[in-house]
Amino acid sequence: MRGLARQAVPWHAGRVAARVAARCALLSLLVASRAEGDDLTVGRGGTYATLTAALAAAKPGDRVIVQAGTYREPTLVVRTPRLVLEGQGWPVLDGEGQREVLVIAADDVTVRGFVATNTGVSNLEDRAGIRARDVRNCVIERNRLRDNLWGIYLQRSADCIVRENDIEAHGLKQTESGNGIHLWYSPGARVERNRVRGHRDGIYFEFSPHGETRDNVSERSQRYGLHFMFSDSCSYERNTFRENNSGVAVMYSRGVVISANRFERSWGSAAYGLLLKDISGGAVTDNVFDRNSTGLFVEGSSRLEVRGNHFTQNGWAAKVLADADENVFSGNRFSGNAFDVTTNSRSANSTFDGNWWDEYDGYDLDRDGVGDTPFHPVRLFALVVEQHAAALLLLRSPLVSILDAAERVLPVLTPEALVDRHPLMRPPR
Amino acid sequence: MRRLVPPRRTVLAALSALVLLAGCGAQEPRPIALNEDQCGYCRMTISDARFGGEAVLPTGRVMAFDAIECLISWARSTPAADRGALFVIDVQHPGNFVPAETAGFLLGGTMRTPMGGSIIAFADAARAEEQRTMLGGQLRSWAQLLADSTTAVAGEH
Repeated sequence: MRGLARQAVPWHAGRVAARVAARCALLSLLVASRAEGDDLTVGRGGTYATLTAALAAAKPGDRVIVQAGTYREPTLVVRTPRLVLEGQGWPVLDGEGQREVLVIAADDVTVRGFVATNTGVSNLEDRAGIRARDVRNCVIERNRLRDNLWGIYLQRSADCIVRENDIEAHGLKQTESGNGIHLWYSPGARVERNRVRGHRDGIYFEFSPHGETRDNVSERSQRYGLHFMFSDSCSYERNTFRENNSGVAVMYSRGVVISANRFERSWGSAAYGLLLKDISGGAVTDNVFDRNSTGLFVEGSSRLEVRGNHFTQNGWAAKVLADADENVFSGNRFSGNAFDVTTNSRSANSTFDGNWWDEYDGYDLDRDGVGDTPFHPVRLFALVVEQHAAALLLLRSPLVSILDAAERVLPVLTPEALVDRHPLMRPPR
Repeated sequence: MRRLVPPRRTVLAALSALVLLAGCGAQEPRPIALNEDQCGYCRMTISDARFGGEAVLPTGRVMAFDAIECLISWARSTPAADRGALFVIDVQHPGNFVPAETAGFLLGGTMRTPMGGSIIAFADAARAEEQRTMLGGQLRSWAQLLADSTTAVAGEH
């Protein structure tokens, strides 16, 4: 598990140091809690045969150590605060296709080292592998979740940490799948270094502000790799979203920071590397948008800073609709996209300034690194396609090239505002 | 010229009959393609067959919605004449449409819906009332939901 997480994420020295410091802090915490409580052992050679019995006997601050084996018990509910549940040798908690597996219902509980599996499917209940319900400060780390309807579900739980879990669902019908990591009314969460595959949405924040989502890999989701709704002031950084059916959607939120992520290979008519809908204020910086039908889609969003991103080999690098305003695109790199920028109206209210465009064929006589003629990133043909999708058939036709060239020389139909007056001669950074 | 008038009328009648017929045909909702169709209001990819609805526009175009919240927000921002026929999904029979006008709704119960508004639809008010003891919430008609400003999708503008 830890090897996996490390592999996925390139580390640098500063972060390693920070991590070591964090480990030490965590260790001292652990030592403190152990000093406070007893160790209860479950399984072969242990004091308790079942987790149910151990949980009933545990006192606040105890540690419940579970040996390897498969445990088929009624839904386990942790009601004792400050408990640490620790699996050794990957004990399997099996829901037998019938029920939720583990519920945290007390504050300051830690769950690590388990395989939670097989909740089965239900139309009426949202069954989860591990659920935290109405608690604070839970830690769910280094678990494996396999074939659950929902993976890890934080429900009205504040300041929890979900890290280094490996979550996978397969074989579920698309109508019968929940999300990998789901947060509902759970503010202040940290979701770090998890891997999620094959759920409906890999990671979903709903009504959960002030969350931090870092260094996760979310792929092959049936819908979104990451989905944010009504969750203000969240940040997500250094995550990789790959081959998700519809990409990533961030909606109806304020002050979202989206930085240094990779959005890769979301293909399809309704698939977007990153879909921003009704987002106000925030930053989209230093991300890579690689091989998506549409890299970045912006609708109804305002005052976004879009800087230092690399858009490469997308169908459309950026679609910015006319109802998006005061967004500023600068220092971005556009290369190998079929269309760099498109919009749905002549009156566009976002600004492009100082980006690098591989399509730019201007010159730089004063050698200041900035092209002397402006660049019009919206091809006339992009607007035609926006109105009549079928026209895309003509993408490589000579007629279209002539049209585009004519429009660039003498713009009549493309939005006047969508002009980069300071196109860079060299790619940034 | 005079002789031409009756045939022209006939042609007109035939044409309008055709238009009407075509119109009738187009009033039917079409099945939603899960994880493919996009919501016409919030653009989310539709992934849950228990919720949502459709608008069959006077032009024959069909718009799908992932949640009843979205259908309401869209209907509010669209002139009544342009809305066409509105349908909602019967939560007890995922994928089945009922006309919004005759459906019964529960607002604010325990069931979670894609846009967080907890509005679910049933074949009629009696069915909705039946389930109310288990699912909670308040009984509503389509007209009441449209008139109630608290049913908006947050961010509707």
